[in-house]
Amino acid sequence: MKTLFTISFFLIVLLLFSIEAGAHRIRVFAYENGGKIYAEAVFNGGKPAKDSEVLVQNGNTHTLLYTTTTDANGKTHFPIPEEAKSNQIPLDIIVDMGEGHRNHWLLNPEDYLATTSPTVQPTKVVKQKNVPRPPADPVNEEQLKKLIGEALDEKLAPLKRMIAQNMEKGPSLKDILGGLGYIFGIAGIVAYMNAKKRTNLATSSLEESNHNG
Amino acid sequence: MHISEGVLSAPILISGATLTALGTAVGLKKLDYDRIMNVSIMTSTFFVASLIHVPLPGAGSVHLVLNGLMGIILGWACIPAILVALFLQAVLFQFGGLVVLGTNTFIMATPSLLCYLFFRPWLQHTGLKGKVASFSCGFISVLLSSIFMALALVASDKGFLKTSMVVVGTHFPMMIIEGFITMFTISFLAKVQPDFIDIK
Repeated sequence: MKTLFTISFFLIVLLLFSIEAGAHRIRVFAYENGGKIYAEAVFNGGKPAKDSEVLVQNGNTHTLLYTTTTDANGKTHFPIPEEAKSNQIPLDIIVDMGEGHRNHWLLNPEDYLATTSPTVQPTKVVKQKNVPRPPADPVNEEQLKKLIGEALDEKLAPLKRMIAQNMEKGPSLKDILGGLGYIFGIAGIVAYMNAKKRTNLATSSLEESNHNG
Repeated sequence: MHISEGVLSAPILISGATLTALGTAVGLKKLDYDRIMNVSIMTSTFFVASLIHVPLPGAGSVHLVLNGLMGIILGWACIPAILVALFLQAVLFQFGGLVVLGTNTFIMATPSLLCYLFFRPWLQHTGLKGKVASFSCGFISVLLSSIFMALALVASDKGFLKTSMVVVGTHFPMMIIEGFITMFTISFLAKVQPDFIDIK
């Protein structure tokens, strides 16, 4: 019993240490801004995953479209691959640390084409309906849209990053205690089964000896 | 030390899972069911230890493994114990993954078992010999684990020299830390509660 208490004490100390520590797992986050895709990879503890391999794959067929590496801050950026632009395919951005740590971020076409592609089409529409419309300058309207889009992207990037961070939070105290509960629960079941088997054996041997006697 | 999902090739995953299954079967067979609480305590320790990170200057951080300690205290039972702990870590913390569970268990549990079997005669001594043996258990378990991990990555086509250097290199400080933790824990337990350690 004394051992149990000593060990439990150690466990609790370990637990206290662990609450602040993040997981040794990388988190990938990518977004589009001004026709380029920005990707960053950090360890859950907050350290950047530097000099890691970044693989950009076609999200449907998993064919490789582009490779690059992250810089010292765990960041990288690259132009949107032409194939992805024309075919509107989701991009799977994979960051591989090379020591078994790897994660990915799926960028859907509406995420990275939103600000780049619509800029061309509205001009035609506006030009065709030029006569009945009020004399708003079509070029300015279009530019404004683009500017707002870019500004929004810039402002929203940290927000998106925050959401990504929250989506992949490290283990919470709840998870840790839950896991410990499972372990002791399993041990309890095994101990119970074993005790039951033993009492069954004991009673059967007792009955046997009674029978013989 | 946990290999993520989607890194390893199928043959490595399958052989890892098979070897782990065999080891678990033997481990459960050799398990003394009167010591089940010791096993669960050590499983919990291993489960929580992976959350303790040691920051390294330069490259990220590594976490405690404590597989040497598991081997000394549990013997063969360390394989099912590590399997359960890794399963819960995969499910609750998303460390590693369910597909790589077998290989990850093999990588972490086999070195503990080998160290236990190899150092067992020395571990019975309480003096300097025992201390050196328990330090070596902690040190060599992590060393072997990182070598196994490098081999698994290499066999899955990952550029031999770079990965093995990175894996073994980043775990080197951990080997020393684990060696000391194992040494102090074992000498403490040997004094306070010698029954807890499975060395006969």
